[in-house]
Amino acid sequence: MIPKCLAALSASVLFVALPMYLRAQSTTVTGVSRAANPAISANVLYLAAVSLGDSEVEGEHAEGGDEHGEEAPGANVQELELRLTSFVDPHVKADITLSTHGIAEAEVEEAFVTALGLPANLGLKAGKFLAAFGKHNPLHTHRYPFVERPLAHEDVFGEEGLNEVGVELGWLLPVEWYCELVGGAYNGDNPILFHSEDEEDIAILGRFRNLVDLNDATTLEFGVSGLTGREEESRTRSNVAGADLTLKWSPLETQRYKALTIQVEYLHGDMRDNTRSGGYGFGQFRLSRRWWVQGSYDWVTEADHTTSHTRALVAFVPTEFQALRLQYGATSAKGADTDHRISLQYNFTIGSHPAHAY
Amino acid sequence: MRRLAVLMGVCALGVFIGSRTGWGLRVVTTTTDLAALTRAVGGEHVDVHAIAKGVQDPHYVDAKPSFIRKVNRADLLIFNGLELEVAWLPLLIEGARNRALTPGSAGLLDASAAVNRLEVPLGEVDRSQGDIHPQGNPHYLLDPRNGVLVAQLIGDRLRQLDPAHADNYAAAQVQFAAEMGSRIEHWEHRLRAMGSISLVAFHRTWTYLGSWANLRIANYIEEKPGIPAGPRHLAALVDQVTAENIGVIALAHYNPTRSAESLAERSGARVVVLPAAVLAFDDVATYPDVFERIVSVFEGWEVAGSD
Repeated sequence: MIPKCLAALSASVLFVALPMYLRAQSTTVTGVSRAANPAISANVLYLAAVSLGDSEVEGEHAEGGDEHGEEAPGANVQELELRLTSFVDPHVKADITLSTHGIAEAEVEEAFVTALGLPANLGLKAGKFLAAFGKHNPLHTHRYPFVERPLAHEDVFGEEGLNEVGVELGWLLPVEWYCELVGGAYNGDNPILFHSEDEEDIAILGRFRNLVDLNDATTLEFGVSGLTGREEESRTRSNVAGADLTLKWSPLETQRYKALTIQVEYLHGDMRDNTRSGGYGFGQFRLSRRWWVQGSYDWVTEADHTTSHTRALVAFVPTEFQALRLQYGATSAKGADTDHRISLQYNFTIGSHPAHAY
Repeated sequence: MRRLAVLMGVCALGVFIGSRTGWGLRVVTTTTDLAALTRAVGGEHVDVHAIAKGVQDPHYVDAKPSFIRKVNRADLLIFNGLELEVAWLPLLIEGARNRALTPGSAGLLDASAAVNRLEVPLGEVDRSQGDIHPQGNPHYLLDPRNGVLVAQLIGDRLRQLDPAHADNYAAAQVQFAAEMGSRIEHWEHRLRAMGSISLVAFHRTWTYLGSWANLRIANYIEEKPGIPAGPRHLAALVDQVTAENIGVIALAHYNPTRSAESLAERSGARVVVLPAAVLAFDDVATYPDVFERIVSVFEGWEVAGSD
């Protein structure tokens, strides 16, 4: 996969340098134009982690089939993400996100098109993308509220999250508040939930999302999600249900200086022969323009075995293009020592100005 | 399945009723200034809603899904442009799924098309220069002459989208231009009486105002656009304000006051908060009110300065 990533990078360098050289010439003659190049942005996440004491919990949990996405202690590139966005034509917009895990492998994280101007308040997304399940799953790594994903998301959706090839149709209901119904159909190929060679076996998602303004500064969002897909090998069906609640507050006069987000999300998955459930609750408070403090609790239960994770985080955000975050996390499970971990994460974004999702 | 059909039927009815109850063209603007100008030329034939409130810094507005509802129902979306709303408007438009607002359609109006831009960077632009606007300074509506030009542009678009009331819009355009013309003449007269005013600003908010009102903007509290001042920059500002005998630090109503107050304390200059938008304060309710207030404040400190 590395050569592909390098090829993409060198291609973008070429696309910048070559047209400069050729600028004097007409593109009608050369056929080389950068006028319609996609908007490019890159985000890099660095992570340094120190584990204080034994990492017994991690080992214990690893027996359950997976690790919790925590990087090995020491300094690492957590992820490099390269994003290309452009209109294909007047009807379709395309987004491509290439990402690396560390520096060892690269992959197509997302590659999807969004249809523009559909009738009846419909929105259509097709390709490979992070599915619209709940609040945390659609987030890219650099948008995670904490350094790692919540335990329950890791254990129910797998390391990559629910990131499938398929289509999603969203409908904005014509009511006074923001109310959206999303239906998704995917070629189910998730390492934990479903896998099938049969092309008729598709995974189906439904999401219902509501957001109301309590006042100018405060919004309350409530959503429920459901997912079902078939696992060919074990001839079982995997079902996941989720619910989420988000309260956001930010006074209009000081939107850049004060903000509060409180979010809870619960997941329940019935898959193969086991049941996994869990969730998280976190609070994020913006103290000033550059400083945030956050805390979270999350847990996952599998066969009466519960692992829980408590985190506290301080973020220093000099501009919207970089952030330095220091996190303390304690992971504990019954019958094992608590793992204490300090993580320092740095990220930056260059290129096309990203809009800020609410 | 039947329940779903009933639900869809109810919603379809909702759309039908919803589309019947609105009067006139539904216009959404990103700012209160654009809303005020739209009301001035649209009158009773338009139903105008501004996304950012007057008290907000229009660079930083949360892209709340509730705004997506508003944009979803708009016949016309008027925005400031020059990347003022780049951090939030694209998400609202994309989320709104409004066929009238697909890129390039007549339902989208970039108001900056009407004006001569200032501070368009020459040469390479990158973020080492801070939050620089590559297409030019976006605060053009703080020159009242630009307000007239933008109102004409909006009126033209209203005539195109709502030909039934074209005559009303045309008459309102003429009336607004005439009214603003005489007000501008009056403000200019009062400004000339004061001579040139030197000030330190927080952000590059007053560039257009300055070019109209003959302000000398000596420096900025922000080291670079969008980048807060460090102690060294503040110390240099104190020296400059003292040396050049600058009497005023002019903040926009949404700027933070702390660094300005510290500068004022150390240099002897005064902090003055000016309205940078319609509805910045409750009593700045119309577009002309903005300039009436600014010119009055200037006159006030002229008097104070001569004491």
